[in-house]
Amino acid sequence: MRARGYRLMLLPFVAGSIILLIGPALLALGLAFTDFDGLSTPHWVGVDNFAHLLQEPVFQTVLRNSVEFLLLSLPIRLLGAYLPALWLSHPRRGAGLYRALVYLPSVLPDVAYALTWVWIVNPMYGPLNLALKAMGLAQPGWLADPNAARLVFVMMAALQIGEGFVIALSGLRGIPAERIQAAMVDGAGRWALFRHITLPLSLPWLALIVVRDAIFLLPWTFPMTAIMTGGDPYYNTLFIPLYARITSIDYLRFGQGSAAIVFMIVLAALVLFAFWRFARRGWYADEA
Amino acid sequence: MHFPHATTPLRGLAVSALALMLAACAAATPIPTNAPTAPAAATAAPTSQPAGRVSWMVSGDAVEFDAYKAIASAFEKANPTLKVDLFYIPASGDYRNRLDADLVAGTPADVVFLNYQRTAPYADKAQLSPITDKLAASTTLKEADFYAAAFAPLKWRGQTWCVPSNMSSAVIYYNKALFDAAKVAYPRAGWSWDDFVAAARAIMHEDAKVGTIFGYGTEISFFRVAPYVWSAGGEIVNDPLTPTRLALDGAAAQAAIQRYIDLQVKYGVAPNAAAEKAEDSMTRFMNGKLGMYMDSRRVTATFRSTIKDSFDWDVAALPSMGSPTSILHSDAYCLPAKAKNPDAAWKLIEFAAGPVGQKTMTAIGRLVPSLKAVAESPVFLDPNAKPANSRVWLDTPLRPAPTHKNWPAIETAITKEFEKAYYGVQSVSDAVATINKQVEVLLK
Repeated sequence: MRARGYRLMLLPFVAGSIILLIGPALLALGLAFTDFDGLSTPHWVGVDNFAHLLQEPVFQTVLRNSVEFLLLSLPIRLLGAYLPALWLSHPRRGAGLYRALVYLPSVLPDVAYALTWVWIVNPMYGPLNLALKAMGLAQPGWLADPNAARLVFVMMAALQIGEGFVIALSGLRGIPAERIQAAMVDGAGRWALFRHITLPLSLPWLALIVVRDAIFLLPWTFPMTAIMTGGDPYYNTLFIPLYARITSIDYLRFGQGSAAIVFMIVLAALVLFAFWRFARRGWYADEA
Repeated sequence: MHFPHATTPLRGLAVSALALMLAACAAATPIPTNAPTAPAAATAAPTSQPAGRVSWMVSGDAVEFDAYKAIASAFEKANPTLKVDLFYIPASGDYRNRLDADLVAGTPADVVFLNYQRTAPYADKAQLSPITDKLAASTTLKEADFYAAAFAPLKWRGQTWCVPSNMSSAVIYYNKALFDAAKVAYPRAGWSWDDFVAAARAIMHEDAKVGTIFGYGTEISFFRVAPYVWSAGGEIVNDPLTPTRLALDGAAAQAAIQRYIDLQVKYGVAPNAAAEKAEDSMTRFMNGKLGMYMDSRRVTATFRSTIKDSFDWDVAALPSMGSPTSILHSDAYCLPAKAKNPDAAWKLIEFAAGPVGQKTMTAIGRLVPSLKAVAESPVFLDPNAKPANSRVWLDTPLRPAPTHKNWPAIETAITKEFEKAYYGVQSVSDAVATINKQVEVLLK
């Protein structure tokens, strides 16, 4: 009876996931093998769309942008979530305020967050360059600068770490106090405590953050780039989701747009696989 | 490869996927058509009057929407058996999304509004009805009454597909106060590229109060460079109606692009990438910090309401690199192939593209009428409204962008590489080589 009640409560989420996520993802997978243009009957084209994308210079840039963004943002966000959680996992004065400050950027709506950053990185009037100028440092053109534009999105992603922070904090608070105390009795210093107790016991939580980010980060770029740059300058902030949207809806090449989304899913899977290979030794060692 | 037995379910799946993808983009609320100010109807109801409801999907800002409402109201008065359902999608991108969703669902509005560059791709997909016969039989619309430049790109594969609702083009807006301060003569008819560069260089200076005053500025795009390529005797494509390759690697085309790009990389009279990002050229012009700005008629109403009496301004034809030329900016009313009430839809197109519709739209100041009689009337050439030299839109020879089903993607590729060259990231020849490489597959 109880189990049936739980299942009933799950129903809206399962239905929502099937209708809004799994169903469209499967349909997109199907479309990726067609020449569907949104207006005519689609024809099966095999892997032509994938081959075309891999030969297209713009998509090569998009793929490179996406990989670079993922590889830069993932570790920064992981550290950005874990280090404050580590610091705030112990009782300290003003902890509630600090927690709120860390979480605050995550509650901002995407449009507000994007527009705030457009102002922050305005090359001439934005506070970031004014601060750099006051310190006597170089002031990049940020969103106008092909070398700096992608970094803006890395910085933006690095500050929206509220959910990862909460996950890391709850993981750290779940570490049994007796293990810490036992290690201290054995003479473990702070570094040894962290290296041999805290970090290994945090790994499953950190893995959860990485898994979530690997899936979440590229789709996150869609509203941000659509609002802030449209992929400019010179395709340097064009990531797979916006490229797929432009290709599908503006150019009516839904087959190629869907193939781009398949590339994104494969990319996330590769990142997860690499992380799994990297992290599993730590988990198993801990569990043994 | 085509699997005949698989097409129906495949199409169903595809349509479902598209509908899901576009659902968030499509604003589906029909808008009541109670127009606040309906002009007097100019056409009487004919004897064989179509009846029922006719849907009309439009785009534009609130002022344009008010004008559409006025036209719909006037149309209903002139045609008492017909009722217009006006669908309003403000942003052009959202409008296209909604149109695609409606077309794929087989439920487009009876009358749709399209940029001329979009008509060939939709006609190619059999989504539009040709209007050749209807136009020939019309008692209210005569092709000869329109500017030929506006109708030309709406003809494709031997058929006419839409009726032009307006016909604008790129011109130079200039700040007379900055010309006066620099002691430079205002642009005269037939001014040359060298005159233009000299004026921009004379105007460019540092002002102690407001910072840098630039001589010239605009967004960088295909539409901004193409007129100069043509003016210098170059071409964009080998054949404007059925292009199979780009012609930007021609000597005249490359020289024209180089001269345009020199404004930024050689003379520095235009904002660089960072300055443009900090404050775009249109805003700079309105703030009195830009001598000349290139755009179509669309910004005129904004300049009237924003600049007011801050400084005097006017428009001039584009400077010539050989023969005076500009590029067509135009939209058209079209009849979807799956319109539910095509007879009523054609009646509405005749009305909206006719004198009443065009006068109403022209009065708001954003458009150049495509009907000669309206364009030559005080509604457009209002001597009391800025710019004083509105006639420039009627006198400059115009060329349309090439027609190709993949042109929007081709245009984007050209724009992106021009932008790199304009901001000194690559040479013109590298830009052209990259464009050719990217566009080759799109032109097949």
